[in-house]
Amino acid sequence: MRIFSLILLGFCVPLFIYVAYLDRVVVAQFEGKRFSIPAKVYARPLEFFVGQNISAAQVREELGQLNYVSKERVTSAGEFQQRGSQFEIVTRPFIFWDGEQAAQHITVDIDNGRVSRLRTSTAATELNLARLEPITIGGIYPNQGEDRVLVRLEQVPPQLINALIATEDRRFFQHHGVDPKAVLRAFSTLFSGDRVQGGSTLTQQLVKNFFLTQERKVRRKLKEMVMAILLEIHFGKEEILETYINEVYFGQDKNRAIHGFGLASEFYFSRNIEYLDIHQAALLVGLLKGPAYYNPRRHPERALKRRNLVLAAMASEQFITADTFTKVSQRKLDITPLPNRGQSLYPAFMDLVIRQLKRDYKESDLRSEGLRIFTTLNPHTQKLAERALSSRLDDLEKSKKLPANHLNGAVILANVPDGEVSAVVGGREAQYQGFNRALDASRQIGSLIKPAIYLTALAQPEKYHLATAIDDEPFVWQEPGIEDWQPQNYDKKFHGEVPLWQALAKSYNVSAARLGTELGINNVMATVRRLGVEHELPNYASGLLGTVHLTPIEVAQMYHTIASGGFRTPFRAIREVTTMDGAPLNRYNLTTEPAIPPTANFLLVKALQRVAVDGTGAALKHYLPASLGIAGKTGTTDNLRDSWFAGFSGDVVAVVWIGNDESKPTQLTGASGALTVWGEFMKSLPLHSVDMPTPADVKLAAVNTTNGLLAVEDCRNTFELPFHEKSLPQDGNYCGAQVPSKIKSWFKNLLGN
Amino acid sequence: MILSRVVYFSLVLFISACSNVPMVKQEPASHNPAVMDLYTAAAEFTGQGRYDQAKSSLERALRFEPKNAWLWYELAIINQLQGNYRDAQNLALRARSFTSSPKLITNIDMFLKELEARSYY
Repeated sequence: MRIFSLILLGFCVPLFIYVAYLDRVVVAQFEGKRFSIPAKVYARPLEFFVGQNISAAQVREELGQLNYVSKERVTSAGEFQQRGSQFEIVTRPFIFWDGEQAAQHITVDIDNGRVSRLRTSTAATELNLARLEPITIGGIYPNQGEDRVLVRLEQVPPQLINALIATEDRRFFQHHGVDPKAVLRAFSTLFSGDRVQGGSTLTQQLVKNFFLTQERKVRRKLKEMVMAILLEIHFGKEEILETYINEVYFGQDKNRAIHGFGLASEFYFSRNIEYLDIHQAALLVGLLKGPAYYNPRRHPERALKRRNLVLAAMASEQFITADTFTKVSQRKLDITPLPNRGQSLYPAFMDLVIRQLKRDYKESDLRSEGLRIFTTLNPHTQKLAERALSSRLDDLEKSKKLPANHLNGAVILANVPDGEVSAVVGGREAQYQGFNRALDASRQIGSLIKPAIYLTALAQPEKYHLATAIDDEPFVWQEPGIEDWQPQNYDKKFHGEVPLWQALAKSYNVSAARLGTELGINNVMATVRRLGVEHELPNYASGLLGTVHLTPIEVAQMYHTIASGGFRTPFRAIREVTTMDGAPLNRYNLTTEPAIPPTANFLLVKALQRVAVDGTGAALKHYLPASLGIAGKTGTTDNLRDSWFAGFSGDVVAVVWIGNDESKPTQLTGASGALTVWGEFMKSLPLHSVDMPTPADVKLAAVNTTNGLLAVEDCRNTFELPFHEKSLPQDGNYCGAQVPSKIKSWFKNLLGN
Repeated sequence: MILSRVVYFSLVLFISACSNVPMVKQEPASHNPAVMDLYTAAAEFTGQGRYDQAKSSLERALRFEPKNAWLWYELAIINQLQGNYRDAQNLALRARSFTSSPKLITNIDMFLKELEARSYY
């Protein structure tokens, strides 16, 4: 007897210790296991106010991206109805940075591209302001690329739980972690060869997902059983079920792994889990056995069969009636099209967001704390820019007989007033995360640097003004240690004496080089730096013609300062960040700094406007009306390797770059290439004209139409230009500005194109 | 409308008291009711010391009326209250570039003088 009890003890004690060890593991891991919740990234929310410029099409587009459903009678959040150009919408409740916004039932009237009326639909009270929730543009994922939408058990439809129980674990609520009946059943099917239910309970499956590898060993199975039992000792059925629902794997979407029913219902049905119908819930449960094998988009017949098996199990467990089963099993799959997303809809913009965030947040927090990030992206503008780039590149390759995919490009758009980045296009295939040319393609900027030369000059009003005669005759620059530098104009001609504004508008290299060296290369580069360029800059003469390498976003920042009247405003891609629950964490403030004397900037803008009228950018007239007063600059480099256009309206600044990734020639100038993309998307945007406040020390004066120089004696045949008062003859001996605008066209004819 | 004027007026009084700025004659900050709503909200937040929320409202209003000198000036004031003197100065200069109202210009100029004096310490 004693020997027997000793043997028993000898066997039980180690077993006991082992089980106690497993117990600790289970508890520690389950409690400590916090799901890594990816950060959620939002575009700017679409806001409405009376008088706003927006088209009905744009509203429709936004509602579509938000997955709003069109209904005859609009009653619940997420529904809308469009009648002509009137929209009745019930917005979804949403927690913004500035607090929770409840669902609103509103009516928006649009007339000729303007919001004419805004009111609540029920009480018909006029509203001053309304706001839709923002589109989710992506997330910042844990390194395994797991993505999930956490749900609470209360949010899960009961029929989904029933489907799960009926299919995976009939006695979930009765057993204590392991179901002996199920084990026996599974054991028997091992011999019969039918693959029916596995013998694992939901608890066991959870343990397997969390802790154990995918080996199929008996020993591992036993361990799994013990741990399942232990789990059930420590944690309640609800907790286990909730965790299971958030954990299970539903397949791969490009570079993210779909986990949990919450995300699965959005991924397969574009629906919130709370709104799943029975047949949809049944499909999801059916997927668990093999998300790839039963993929409803790839293998719809298999998926349908599997779904109906689940429905049959539900009927047999009497969760649904035979009638319901008959009806529901005849429904189609109802899968929505594959969202073209992977981890993000807009990878190039997300790239910018993440770079800005990394300055303030630990990467691990970004990937796991469920932060909510409110960005400045305008999805409408982004789409226009993406399409313009990809379609124009196709056209250009055809017309220039270039090989397919020879050209690539980048686009960046920002708002003038506040420096918010509204769109980033990193390449012609915008939806793929590849090399982000907008942020990282550092290329020679060519003539884009010239405004800095002229700005440096105009900042010395006693010496230079818009009509100062600049010599465009042969110019040689000699420096010890380098070869003589003899810049050439694009048309290989020399143009004699030209007024400063025209030298810029026509982008003459020779006059720019002469002027730049006169002013001092360092002074010009100092201006470039003041405009917001932080890159290292050359101190040799050819730098004046743009051998400096900049990325499109750096160029955009530079032109943004000019567009802002000389105020340097650092670009922002993020407005605010909140916690997962909506508590404000921090915001990115609007800051600005005066960088360029306002008058010099004002005069420069006038010259840049001439670029679009009769300078190198004149082709813009095919895209945009002259009344907008667009200002801009073309840029072309040696051997036509880079084609640039940088320009702005009153409210938008945009830069386009086109080139070949291996720096092969493109056969495109700034005007024949980048400008056409620029015009293409700008023409579809609601734009304000360039309208800079005139500084107090600016006076208008007349300029000869013949030579573009200040008119002193003959005051006929003139047109007007602005001048700093210090630039004008102090004795008042010049023609004032009382000039009819008709004369401008004379000048255009006389000086040719 | 009256409430917003009262709030704005009180705000101006408060700031005048703190910084010896002469009171500006009442002009509405905007004719856009959406902008006025946000402007008023900003004034309320400022009164409660909730500066980040105030700035959020103003920046939102600026998206509707980017050239509204009052909004820029208000942003400058809030930055000053937060002790961000450099930003306050820059924003005030930006505000100044958007207005030709002699009264507002005088006000901003005095604000800038005050800032210079303060940032000396």
